[in-house]
Amino acid sequence: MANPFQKKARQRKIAYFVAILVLFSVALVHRHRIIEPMATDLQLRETTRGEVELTSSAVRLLMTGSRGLATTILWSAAIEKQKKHEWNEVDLLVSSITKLQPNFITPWLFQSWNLAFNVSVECDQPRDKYYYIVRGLDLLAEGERRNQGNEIFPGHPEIRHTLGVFYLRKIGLSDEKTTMRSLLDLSTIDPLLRNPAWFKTTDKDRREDINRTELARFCQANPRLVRRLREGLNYTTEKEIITFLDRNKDVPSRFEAPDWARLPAKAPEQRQSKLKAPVEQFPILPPAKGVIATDPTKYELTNESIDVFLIGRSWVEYSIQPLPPALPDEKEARELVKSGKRYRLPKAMALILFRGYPARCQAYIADDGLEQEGWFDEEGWVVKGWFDREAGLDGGEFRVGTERKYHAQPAWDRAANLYYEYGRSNDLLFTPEVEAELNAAAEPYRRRYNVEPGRVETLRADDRAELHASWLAHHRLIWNVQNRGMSNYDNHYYSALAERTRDCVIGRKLFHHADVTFKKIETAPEEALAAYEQAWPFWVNVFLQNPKFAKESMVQEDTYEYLLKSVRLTQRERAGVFRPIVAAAAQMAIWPHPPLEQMLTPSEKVRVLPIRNVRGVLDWIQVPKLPEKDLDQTRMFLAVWPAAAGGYPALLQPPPVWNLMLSRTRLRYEPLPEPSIWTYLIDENNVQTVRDRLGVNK
Amino acid sequence: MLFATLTLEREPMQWAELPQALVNWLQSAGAIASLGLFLVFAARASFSFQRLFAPAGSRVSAGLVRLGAICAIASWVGFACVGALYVGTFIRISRFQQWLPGAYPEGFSFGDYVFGAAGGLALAVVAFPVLRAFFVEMRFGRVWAMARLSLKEAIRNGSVAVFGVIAIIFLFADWFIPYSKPEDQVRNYVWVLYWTITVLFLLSAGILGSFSLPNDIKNQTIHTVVTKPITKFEVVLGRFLGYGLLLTVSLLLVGTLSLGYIFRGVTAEAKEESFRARIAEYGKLGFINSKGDSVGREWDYRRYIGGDSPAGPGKRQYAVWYFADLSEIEPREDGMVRLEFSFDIFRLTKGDENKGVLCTFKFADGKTGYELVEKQIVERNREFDKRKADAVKATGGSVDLLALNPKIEADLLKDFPVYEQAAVEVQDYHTQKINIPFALIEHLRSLDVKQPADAQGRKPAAMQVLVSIDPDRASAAQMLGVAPRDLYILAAEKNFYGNFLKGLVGLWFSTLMVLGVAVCCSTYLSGVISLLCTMFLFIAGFFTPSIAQMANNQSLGGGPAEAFSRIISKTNMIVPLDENPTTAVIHGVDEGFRWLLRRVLTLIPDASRYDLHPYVANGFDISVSKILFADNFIPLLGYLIPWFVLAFYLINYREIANPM
Repeated sequence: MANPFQKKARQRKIAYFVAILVLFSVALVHRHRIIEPMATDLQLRETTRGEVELTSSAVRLLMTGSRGLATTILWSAAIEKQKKHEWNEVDLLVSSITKLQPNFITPWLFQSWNLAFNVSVECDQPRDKYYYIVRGLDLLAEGERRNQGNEIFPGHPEIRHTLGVFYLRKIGLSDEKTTMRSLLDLSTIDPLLRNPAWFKTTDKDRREDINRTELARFCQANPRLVRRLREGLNYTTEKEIITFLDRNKDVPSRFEAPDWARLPAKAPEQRQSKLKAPVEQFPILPPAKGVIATDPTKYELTNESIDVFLIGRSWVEYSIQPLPPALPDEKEARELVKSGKRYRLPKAMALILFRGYPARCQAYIADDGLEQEGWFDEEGWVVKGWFDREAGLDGGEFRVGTERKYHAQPAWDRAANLYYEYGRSNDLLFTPEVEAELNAAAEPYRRRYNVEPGRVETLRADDRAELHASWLAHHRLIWNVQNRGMSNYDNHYYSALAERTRDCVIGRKLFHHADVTFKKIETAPEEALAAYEQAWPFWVNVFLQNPKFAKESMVQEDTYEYLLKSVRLTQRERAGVFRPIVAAAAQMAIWPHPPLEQMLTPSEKVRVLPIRNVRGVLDWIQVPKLPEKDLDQTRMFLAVWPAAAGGYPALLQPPPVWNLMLSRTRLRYEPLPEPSIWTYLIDENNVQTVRDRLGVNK
Repeated sequence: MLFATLTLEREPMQWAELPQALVNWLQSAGAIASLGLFLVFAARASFSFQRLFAPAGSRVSAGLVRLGAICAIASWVGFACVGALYVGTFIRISRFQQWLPGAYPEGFSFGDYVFGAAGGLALAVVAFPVLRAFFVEMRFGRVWAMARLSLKEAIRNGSVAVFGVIAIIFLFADWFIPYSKPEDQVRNYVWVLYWTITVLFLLSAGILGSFSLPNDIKNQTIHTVVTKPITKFEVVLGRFLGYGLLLTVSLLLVGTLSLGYIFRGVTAEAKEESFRARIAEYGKLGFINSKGDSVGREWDYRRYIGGDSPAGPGKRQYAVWYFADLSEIEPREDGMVRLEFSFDIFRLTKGDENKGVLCTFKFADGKTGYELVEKQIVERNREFDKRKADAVKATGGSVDLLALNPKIEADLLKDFPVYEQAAVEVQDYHTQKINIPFALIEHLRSLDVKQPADAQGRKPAAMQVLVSIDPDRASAAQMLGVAPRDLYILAAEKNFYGNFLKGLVGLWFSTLMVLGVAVCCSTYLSGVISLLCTMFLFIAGFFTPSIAQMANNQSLGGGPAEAFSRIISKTNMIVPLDENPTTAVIHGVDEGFRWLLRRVLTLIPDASRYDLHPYVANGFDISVSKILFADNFIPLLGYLIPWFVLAFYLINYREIANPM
C-alpha cells in the first residue's frame, strides 16, 4: 500500500498528465482549426509562398535566433570575396545567404544582380561573363520558385520581371551581345546536333576536312546563330565556326550533357538528347501558362524563332500574371490587391510601365532580334562560299532561314497588336469616339467644380455617388496624357504600326543590305549604292503614309544618317563625274574664267570632293501641316475625285501614289514663306543634330 | 584552366627573417614578462626571488637566486633605457632617433639590442622556474596518465560524437555547392570542407580546453587528482596533451574522409585539371617605365601596366619579375621549363570581342638594363632568321624546321643570353603557360655563378622576366594587372592528396593553439570566460591586418581622438588638421592609443597564417620547411610558450588543495 505522500504524488502526476493531454489536444485542434487556416489566409505558410526546400528549412531552424547574425556575416564575407575576385566563393556564399532567408526577395534580387552584372563584368572573356550571367539568372529563378505562390496566391511579379530584364540587358543588349546571343543559342540547341567532332571529316588523303553535309544541316537548323557568327563575329571560315562550337560545347544547356568522348565517330541519323528537368535547364524559363509561348517541358521550346527577347517576353508575360486587372483608377487596383490577396503589385516600377514590357520585348524581337541581324522576309540568307559546290542546291545557292518565323513583318505585326491591346486595356489609346464620350461624361464634374480639362482635382465625399463616373472620365483623360508621356507609348505604338508595313520592311532590308555592303565597300560599292537608291522610294512612302512615325526624332535622325552615308558614298563612287562638274562650275563662277585644270595640283583636285554641304532626296520633300485624319481624307479626295468625275476607274491611282499627293519637293535652301502650310519632311533640328554628330557641319 | 594563383596578402615568413622574428618575440614576450614581474613585486610585498625560484621543498642555491634578482633588475633598467630613448626622441634629441627600436627595418639598432636583451633577461627569470619544473620535477609518465584520463573522459562524455557532425556535410554539402565550372569544382569542395572542419575543430578545441579544468574544480574532482603525487602543471600539460591527441586523431580521420569525399564529388575533368600541387619559384616584382598604376579597384592587390608608356614614345611599360635563384629548376621531359602566369586584364576599350590581350615575355639575366635587352632581342631575332635562312639554303629546303629552331636558339644563347616569346594571348584570370628552353636557364645559372656580390653580399637576380603589352591596336589600349605571385616558374609538381593533408596540418596547428590558449586561460578563469577569451583572441587574430593598420597609424582619418574631432568639426578625412595645441593633444592621445594597441597586438595570434586552404584549393604545394615549419610551427611555439609560462604560475599559485 502506498503511503499518503505517494498517493498524493501519484494523483499529482495523473493530474499533470491529464492537463498536458488536454492542453495538447486543445492546442492541436486550435492549430488545425484556427491557426493553420489563418496562416493560409494570410499567406504565412511556407507552402503558400512557393517551393519549399528541406535543407534550407532545416538550416534555418537549426540557426534558431542567430540566423540574422549568420546572414550578416555571410553577406559581409561575400562582399570581401567579391573585392578579391574570388568568384567561386562569392557564388557559394550567395547561395548560402539566400537559403537562410528564402522568402525575403531583396537578397535574391540583389545577389542575382550582383552575379549577373557586377561579377560578370569583371570577367574579360565573354564565355566567363556568360557563366556568371547564367549563375545570376539561375539564382533569381530559384528565388522565383521559392516565392512562386500557387493557384490561389500570387507569386512575386518583381522577381519574374527582373529575370526578363536580366535576359534583355545582359544577353540581348549588352556590349558583347553578339557572343552572348550566340552562346544562348548554343544553350538551346541539342548537344547532339552541335557536336563539333561530327562537323569534321578526313578527305581521301587523310587530311582533316569539313563535313559539309553535317554543317549544312546545322546551318539550315540554326541560321541565325551561323549568320551571327559569320557576320557579327567575322568567323568567315567553317573552321572558325566549328572552333567556336568546340570551345563552348559545355555551355549550360536545356539538355543532359553527353559524354563527348564516348560519342560515336560518325553522326547517327537519329539523335535526340534527354531534356533536363525544367528547373535545371538553361535558359531558365517560366512554366507555360496563359499566353506564354515557350514551354520548357517540350523538346522544341517554341514555334517562334528562339531568341533572347522571346525568353525575356516569356518572363515579363509571366510577371504580369499576378497583377490585378487593369483598372482606370490605379488606387482601385491597389485597394483590390489589399483586400483580395489574390494579386500582387511590383514594389518599385510604375504599373503602367510594368505592363508594357511584353509588347516592348516583342518589338525587340522584331527590331534588335530579326531586322538588325538581317532577317526580313522569305529571302532569308544565302550562305556564300561554303556550300557552293554541294550537289542539289537550288539555283546554285545555299539559302537558309526562309521560314515565316524568321520574317520581320509578322513579328512587327504581333508587336503592333500587343501595343494595341496594352494601349486599349490601360487607357493609353483612345479612339476619337471614346475621347469624345469621356469628355461628355466629364462635363458634369467640370461644371460643378469649375475645372478646366487637364487639371487634377479631388472629388468631395458627398458628391461621390453622383459625380464619381464624371470625375473618373475627367481624370482618365488626364492620366491618358500622363501615362502616354511616361511610357512613350505613341512612339512605340506608331513605330510598330509603321514597321509592320511591307514597304517599311523592304526599306529596312535595303538599308541593312546597304549597311552590310558599306562595311566591305572596297569590294562592293555599287551594290551599296544600288541598295540605297532602291530604299529611298520605299522609305519616302513609309514616311508619307505614317506621319506620326515620320515625326519621331529618333526615326528622322536614323534616316538622315542613312541619307548622309549614301551621299558620301555617291560622292566617292561618282567622283569621276562630279569632280569635273564642280570644277567647271567653280571656273564658270569667276570672270575671267581661270584655267583651273592647269592651276590645281593633283592633291588639290582630290580635295574638290567631298562637298560637305550637299543635300539628299529627303531634304527636299515638304508635307502640309495638316492633322493626320484630314490629310488622309484630303488625299483620298484628290485621288478619287478625278476618277469619279471622269467616270473612268482606270484613272484611279494606286495607294502608293495617294501618299505622294499633298507633298512637294523644294530646295532646302529656299526659306519657307511665313506663315506656311508646308513643312519639311525631315525637321531641320534633327538634320542639324545628325550633321553635328557626324561632323559634317565642321 | 584553373586560376592558379596565390593571392597572399602576407608573404610567409622566410628563414632569413627568423633572427628578426626572434628579437621581436624576445621584445614582446619579455616586455610582458618584465611587466608581470614588476607588478607582482609591487603588489605582493611577501613575494621574493627566493620564493619564485625555490618553492617550498626545493633546494636552490643562493647564488642562483641572486642572479635571478640581478637579471630582473637589469631587465627593468633595460626597459627604462628604451623608455628613455622614446622620451628623448619626443623631446627632440635627434641622436636618439637612430637608436630607437625598429629604426632600421633591415637591421638592428642600439635600441633593438637593449630591448631584446632586457626582454630576454626578463623571460629568463620568469621561465627558469618553469624549465626547472619541466626538466627536474615533472615526469612524462604522470603527464601521460593525465592525458589518458582526459582522453577517457572525452570519450565517455560523448565529446567525440561531435565530430560526427562532419557526416552532415558529407551528406548535404552537395546541395549547397552550386553547379560550377570544372576549374572551380575542387576549389569549392576544398573551401567548404576546410571551412567546416575549421569551425568544428576550433569550437571543439575551445570547449574541451576551456571547460575541463574549471569543471574539475567545480565538481571537486580535481582534489582526487592533486592529492596524488602529481604537480598541478602536469595536470595542465596532461589535459593539453590528451585533448591534443584526441583532436589530432579525429582530424586525421575527418581529413581522410574529406579527401575521399572530394575525390568522389568532383568530375574527372576537374580532377585532371585541379588535382595538382605545383612547386613554384617566385620572383620579386618591379616595374620599368611605370610605377605600377592603380585602376581604382577596391582591393589594391595588383598594379597595372599599360600598352603605351608615359615615359615617351617607343618606351614600353614593363612588369619585371626578378628571380634570385634558378638552382632548383629542372627541365621537363621535352627539355623545356614551364612558366605559368595568370594576370588581370582591365579594359579601357572594348577591344576585340572574344580575344585576349597580346603580350610579350622577354627573358634575360638580372643585371642587364631593359633597353639593352630590347636591343639584344632585335639582334638575336635578326641572327636567328639569318641562320635559319642559311640552313634552309644549305640543305636545299629539306631541313626539319622543328629540329632546327631549338638548335639555332641554343647556339644563339652563347652570343645573346636573351629569349623572347611575343604575341602571347593573355586571358583574364586564367592560368596560362609558356615554355622556355632549359638551355636558357642553364646559361643564366652559369652567368649567375660568375656574378660577384656587392659589399653587403647581395647579388643581382639570376634572371629577369619582362612582360609588356604588345603595341597591337586592340591590346595597347588595355591594362594588365600583375602581382608578385601572378607569374612563377613551375619547378616541379607533387601529389594533390599529400598537399591536402599538409593543408590540414595548418588547421591542426590552429586547433592546438586554440586548445593551448583555452587550457591556459582555464587555469584561472571559469569555463565560459575562458572560452570567450579564447574565441575573442582567435577571432581577433583574423583581423590583425586591420588592427595593425590602426596601430601603425596607417588608417585614413587618424586615431579615435582625431576621428572624433573630425566628426565634431565635420572635417574631411584627408584634410590635415590645423597645427595648434588642441591638435597636438589629439595626436598625443592617439599616439598613446596606438601604443596600447601595439601592445595588445602582441597578445593576438595571427590566426590567418594557419589557413592553408588557398594553397590546396589553387593547387600549390605547401612546403614543409618554408610554410609548415618556418611560417606555422615556429610562430605557434612562440605564441604558446608564454601562455604556458603564464599557466604555470596561475595554476601553481591558485588555491586548489594547495600544500604551500
